[in-house]
Amino acid sequence: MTCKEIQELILTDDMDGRLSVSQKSALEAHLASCTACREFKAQAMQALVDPFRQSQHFDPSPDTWGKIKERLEEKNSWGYRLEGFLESARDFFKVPRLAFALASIILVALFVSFLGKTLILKPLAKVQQETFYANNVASYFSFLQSDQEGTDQEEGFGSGIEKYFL
Amino acid sequence: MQELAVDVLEKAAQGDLKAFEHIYKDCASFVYTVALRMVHKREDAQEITQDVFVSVYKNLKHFEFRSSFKTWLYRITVNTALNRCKRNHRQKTVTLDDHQMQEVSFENPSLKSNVIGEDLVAHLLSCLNLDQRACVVLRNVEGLSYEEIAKSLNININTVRSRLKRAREQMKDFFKKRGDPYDM
Repeated sequence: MTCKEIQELILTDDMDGRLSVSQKSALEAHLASCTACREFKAQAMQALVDPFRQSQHFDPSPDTWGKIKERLEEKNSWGYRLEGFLESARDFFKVPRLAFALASIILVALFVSFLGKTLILKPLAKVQQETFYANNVASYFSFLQSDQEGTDQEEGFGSGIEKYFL
Repeated sequence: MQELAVDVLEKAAQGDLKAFEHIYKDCASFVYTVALRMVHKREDAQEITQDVFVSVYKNLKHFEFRSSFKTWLYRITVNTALNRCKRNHRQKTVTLDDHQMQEVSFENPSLKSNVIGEDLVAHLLSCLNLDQRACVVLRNVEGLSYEEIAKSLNININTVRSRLKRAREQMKDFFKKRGDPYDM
């Protein structure tokens, strides 16, 4: 290994106890023969390990919990609960935006199709049916009338329904 | 920091303030320490600590017990501290002036024998950018493994390693320039 590679190992895996057995023996062999890298390691230990070894943990001021509790109790109030509910509702509609859009399109299509059938096609069919019966009845009466008048118009009865009634 | 009992977390997630106080007592010290190391100011660190615990309380119901609470809490703490730093327009490398040095020199008389060490740590951290600082604080102060740091910061292990390497190179140079404080 080169000095550069050794120094990188010193700053990372060596310092953090992550060296494999083979890396460790390679490092030790290199340090035994390289003064520059030995000095580098000594400086690194002095600058980067020793100061942190003495660093401590600190506690927040004693009133911190009181302040947090105050904020949490505010959060438990109805205003915050409503805010939370609105946030959840917004997230619900925001996250699956594409799925929601597709579902909306499908629903609208189904609704339009249903409306088309009930409001347009069914009444139209009914009107057609009523017209059909009205025409038939009219033709029948017209036939009876012409028969009573004794006119010879048999050649005029050409339609299927007229033949049926005849 | 030890992992907390699941039943305490579950009770707190349901809004039990007593259980949440237990979590606070267990974790306040490390949340405050990480915040203070990141931002170098007591007032900011106090506010970050409050924000972190309010955020934890609010989001505890979404916490998935598959992951470690400790890692989750570190992530919230570091993110809150980073956001605070960005908000204060201190995203780039900060050099401490005398006033700020006083901020990180702790007034507690029992700590006076150690004041050089604490000042030194603050100086070393001040020459790093925020990403590097977060890695160094979690590794050197909190003793997290590379894997835990990667999870806490949502980065991969190689990034953790390279950030630590660059940070340590900078701190070593910084240390060399200012001389050995122990000789003062």
